[in-house]
Amino acid sequence: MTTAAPADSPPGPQRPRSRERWLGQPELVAAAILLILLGQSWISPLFDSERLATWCTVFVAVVVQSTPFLLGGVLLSAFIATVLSDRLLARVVPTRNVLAVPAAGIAGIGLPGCECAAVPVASSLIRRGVAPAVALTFLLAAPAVNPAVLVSTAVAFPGQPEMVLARFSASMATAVLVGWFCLWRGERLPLRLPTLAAEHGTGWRGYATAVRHDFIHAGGFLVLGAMLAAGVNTFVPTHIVDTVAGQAVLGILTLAVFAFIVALCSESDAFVAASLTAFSDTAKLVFLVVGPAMDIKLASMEAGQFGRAFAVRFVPVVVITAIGSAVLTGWWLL
Amino acid sequence: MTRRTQGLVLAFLGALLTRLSLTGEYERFVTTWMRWPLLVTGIGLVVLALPAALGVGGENGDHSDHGDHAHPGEEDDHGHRAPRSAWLLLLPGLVAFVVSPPALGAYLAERRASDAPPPAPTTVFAALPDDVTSDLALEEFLWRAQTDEGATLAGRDVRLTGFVSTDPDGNWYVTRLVIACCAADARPVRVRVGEADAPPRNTWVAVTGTWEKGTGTTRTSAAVLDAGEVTPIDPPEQVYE
Repeated sequence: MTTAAPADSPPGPQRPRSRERWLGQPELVAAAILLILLGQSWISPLFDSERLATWCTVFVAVVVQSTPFLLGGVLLSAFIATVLSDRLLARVVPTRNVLAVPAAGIAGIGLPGCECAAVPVASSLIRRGVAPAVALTFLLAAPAVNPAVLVSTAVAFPGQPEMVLARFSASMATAVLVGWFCLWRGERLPLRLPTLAAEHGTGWRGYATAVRHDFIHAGGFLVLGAMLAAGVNTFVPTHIVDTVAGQAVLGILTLAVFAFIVALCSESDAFVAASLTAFSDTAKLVFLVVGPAMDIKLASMEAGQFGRAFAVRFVPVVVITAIGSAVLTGWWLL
Repeated sequence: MTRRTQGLVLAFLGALLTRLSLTGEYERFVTTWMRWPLLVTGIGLVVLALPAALGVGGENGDHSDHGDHAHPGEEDDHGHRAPRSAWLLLLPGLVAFVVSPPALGAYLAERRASDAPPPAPTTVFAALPDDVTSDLALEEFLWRAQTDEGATLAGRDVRLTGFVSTDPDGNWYVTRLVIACCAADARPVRVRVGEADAPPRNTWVAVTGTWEKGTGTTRTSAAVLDAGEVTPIDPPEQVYE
């Protein structure tokens, strides 16, 4: 899978770049040939039609399912960027950031959307001057603690209401702890934001331009995440997952990794968790807490929205915090 | 990527969602209730993208300071330029239109075969009539087998429909996939069919028979239907349960 070069790339690249290309090209070709030769036994079954068709179906499904939520999030984020007045924003967000972090976590209950919606919203909040720690807390909390997710968890685990409570508390703790961590790191977070959508003008046309701009910026990374998640769904052998199920620590780590790479919607992951009967309840809770906070699709979108340097630090912090709070909550409640 | 290309890419994605929703093909990918959100999103994207795709309204007024394809040399990180990743937005449309991927089938069901079915809800199952054949959803069949040691299934004729999947031991199953949100979370529900030869994988069948006593009474043991009759059928409109 290659991404085509942008059609508008400047004609006649500068000299250093072209020299770099000439040096790189034969090596790239050689590496590609070597990879194909070495990996043939692994690559050729991929083109076996049934597997490829399954990948295509899962890939299109993830994109199709996420797009309405992404558009919803982008409409909201463009609203924040172009319509919401500074005075109203200042009144809604508490002035003391230490308190604003848990407030943002609680505000997350009110956005019943998937993860994909939260990324552009958080981005536009930061662009409007909300402290990054506060916006990131909202980003982590919104997909995990909203009513739609809690109801689906209750349905997937009948007779286990403590699972819903545990999921809510562990996810909220993750969001608030990471928020406070970002507050403490403060300026040292290498946050890079894309263009301020508000500068596209005001009024209806400005709003429409901001929506298109935000969608284009987030959408490509959503597709990339969907490609990877579908690949994992289709190609990674499942017996790896099955062999470690019985072991407490390995089981927890496995489901954390599993949650990260399969990138399910937070509304549906409870059903998948419930079907993983071989694992302990704590391991399932880890799956439910890590998934909405961080997965391959979100990491891809956040790298696009906030810069790669930021994602490289933010992703492990979130994953470790999520595992930690889920394990503690599981030990206490389950 | 120029402003017009951005518009085209978005319009293409919008057209894809609109088409999937109108033709009913969306049922291969997501749950039935997604139809209207998809239609609204698809039309919304097209409406949003059309002015840009047709090159209307961008060159003057608010945007004169950023004229993108008019002055390619002036582009920088603060312009309208879309990230390279935006090209990926073409991919779902290409895959959906060119490959037209089928609904998930035996391959995924066999991959996920070790996932246990969900626990039976704590409802009381009504008795099945003993003189006629009852059509049951696969999930309900499994739940009934788990409830009271399968008391409501014993001695009753039932008909189950699904596609054929197999396991390495040579058994075959009548299978459905259940999705909660989209095809990525599909999990199989399957009932092993006894006393009948396996039809080709992925064919849709209706199997009439009786429950084999004592099978499938726990979540981890396989339920077995002793087949009296196996008839090939057309795939149902709603492929996922």
